[in-house]
Amino acid sequence: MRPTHIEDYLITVRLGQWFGWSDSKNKVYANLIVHDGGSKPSESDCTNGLKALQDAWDLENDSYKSKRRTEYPSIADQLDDIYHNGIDGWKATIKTTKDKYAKG
Amino acid sequence: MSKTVITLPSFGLTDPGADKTIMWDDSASALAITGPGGDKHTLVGSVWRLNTSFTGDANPIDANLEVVDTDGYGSLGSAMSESSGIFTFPSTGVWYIKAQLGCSSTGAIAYHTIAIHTTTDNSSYGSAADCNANFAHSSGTYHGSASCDCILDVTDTANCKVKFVVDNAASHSTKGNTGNNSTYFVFIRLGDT
Repeated sequence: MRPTHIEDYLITVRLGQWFGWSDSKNKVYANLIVHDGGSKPSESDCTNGLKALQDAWDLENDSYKSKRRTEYPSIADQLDDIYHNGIDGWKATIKTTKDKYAKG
Repeated sequence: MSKTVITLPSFGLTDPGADKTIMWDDSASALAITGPGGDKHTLVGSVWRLNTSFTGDANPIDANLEVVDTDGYGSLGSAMSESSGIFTFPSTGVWYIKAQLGCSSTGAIAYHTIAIHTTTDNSSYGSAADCNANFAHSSGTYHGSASCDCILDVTDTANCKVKFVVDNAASHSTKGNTGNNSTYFVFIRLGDT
């Protein structure tokens, strides 16, 4: 699930139940409270942190890397390809997918 | 005290000669079913939930807890009370307790445990029930759930208490939500102790 809220970032900052909301029905930065006496991330920390999580998620789930990963033949099929067609034949098979989803 | 008594006909009962009585007791704000032996089954129930996610262990879960208040939720009888993660029962009786865990893991092969810890002396807690969500992927984000339950004979509300513990969750998130039940706790009074 793609991160969509600053809470997705906040749970990565420290372990435990260190934060909460003064109004749990309105989880905006202004309502962020700290339970453990530790530091409170700034609003820009939260928005930048969320953006970084979203970028990482997109790279993992919605990028050339993830599309290639789902289309490559299984390891067993690739080994079979190498056995029957040699390394050059296997590279040709893999290149088909690489060309289809170029780095972007 | 205002009471409305309805006496049921005896059909379908294992003891056809004994009528059963359902009584609404306004003073107790609860439904009481009285059997022929006089044993009462006062129905009391409520659901609490975690409203904010967290990562790591908690012993007990002691923050961001709320009574469910959305999507037509209703409870019966007096409410449970909670302080610093310790739940106190509103009345003695035999209580059913359920802990439901919602969790997620990003790139960690491990399990994530939630447990119900009970005490009968308001001091020494034991694990009455636990359960695990297991994650077996070294990359990507995966979601899991697990639940466990137990029955506690609450003979004394000052000494019989319950708390909920999350363990081995360093790389996992225990999911909380204020809009629906993700990690939540059910308390139902089944009958007299």
